[in-house]
Amino acid sequence: MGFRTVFVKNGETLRVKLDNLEISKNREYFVIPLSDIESVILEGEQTSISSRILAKFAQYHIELIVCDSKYLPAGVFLGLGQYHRSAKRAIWQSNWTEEQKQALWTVIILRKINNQIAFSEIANVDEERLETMKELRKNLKFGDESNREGHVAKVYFNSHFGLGFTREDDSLPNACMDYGYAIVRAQMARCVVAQGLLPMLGVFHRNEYNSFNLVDDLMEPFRPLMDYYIHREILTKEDKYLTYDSRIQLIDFLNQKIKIKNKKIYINQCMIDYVISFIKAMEKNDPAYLLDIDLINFVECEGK
Amino acid sequence: MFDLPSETKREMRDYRIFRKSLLENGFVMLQYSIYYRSLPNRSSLKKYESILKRLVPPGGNVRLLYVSETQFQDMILLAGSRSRQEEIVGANRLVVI
Repeated sequence: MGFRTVFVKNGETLRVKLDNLEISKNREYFVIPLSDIESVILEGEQTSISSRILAKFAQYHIELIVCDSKYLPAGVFLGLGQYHRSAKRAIWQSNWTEEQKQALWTVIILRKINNQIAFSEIANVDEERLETMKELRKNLKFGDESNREGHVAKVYFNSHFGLGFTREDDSLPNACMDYGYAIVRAQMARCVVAQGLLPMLGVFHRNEYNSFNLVDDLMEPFRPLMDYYIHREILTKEDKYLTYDSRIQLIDFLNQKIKIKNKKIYINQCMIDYVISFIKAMEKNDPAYLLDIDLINFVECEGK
Repeated sequence: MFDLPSETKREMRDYRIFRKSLLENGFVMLQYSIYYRSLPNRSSLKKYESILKRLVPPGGNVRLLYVSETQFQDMILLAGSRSRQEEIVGANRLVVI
């Protein structure tokens, strides 16, 4: 299992060299064993890459994230069918019942709301607004049929970034969130595919144009963690836009630690465990098996 | 660390295959005949130990030494300098190139 994230800015070529990834930049060569790599992030538009290395990436479950000219992650390349029993998983997954899916979704969304409230408490949001969010949480119904998620999110974002805030604005917090969520999403997609699940069949998201419905479902509890991390590491600086250093910092989110079952583990490892626990919850038909991703356990591990 | 005989053609061939398989398994040359590889945890040390045991050619002298990350970082350089590979890749979880 890989443990390294490789970020390449304006590299020249990526090649395979004896089961290693060889990166050349400014006439310097670096080799990294493929089996060590978890993900590769490419920025800048001059890097050339061979189909041979893409095939190797797929075999080794390495995700490749490509960024556009605004430095935002634009696409993910993932291997398919590299899991040893992918057909079995796919058939099983397409047979999930509506009730099973909704039960899981209720738990996932409750965890997300919990984390949003926890972060709001840390950020000293008005008591009144906290109460509103807690009130909305109380009314969470099975399968979130009354869309409490959306209502909480509105109060949550408005409390943190002001009343006029929308996720469509061209502002620094939005740029950070777009970037940060894309990193989390790509990592989650990698974990999902590595376990042989089909990322397009979700438990709640069912957009027919989205090939990552399941990923978008599963990553929900991690969003407030990223928000907190952005708040702590980037918004405290005086930057006006998303700088190179900030982008590296956001990628390093995956190397932060979180306490799970009284053990401190890296976030990227935690995501793998989380997906495995999701599979177990589905198999046993009991949402209680789903790993609890708690913001407080993340805050505690600050400074490693 | 290794010393391998290179008298006969057969021995030369064994040496080439051994060196190549070291590189394939992610080892990097530190200096002549000394190769290293950083690993995330103890269980993978054992894994690579057994891989190496399978690879060693007969009639050579090959040694394996486990060194912690801190010990490796504290290595004193008496002459020469660290390679860029060591600095940038090293044992880092986030490699920025």
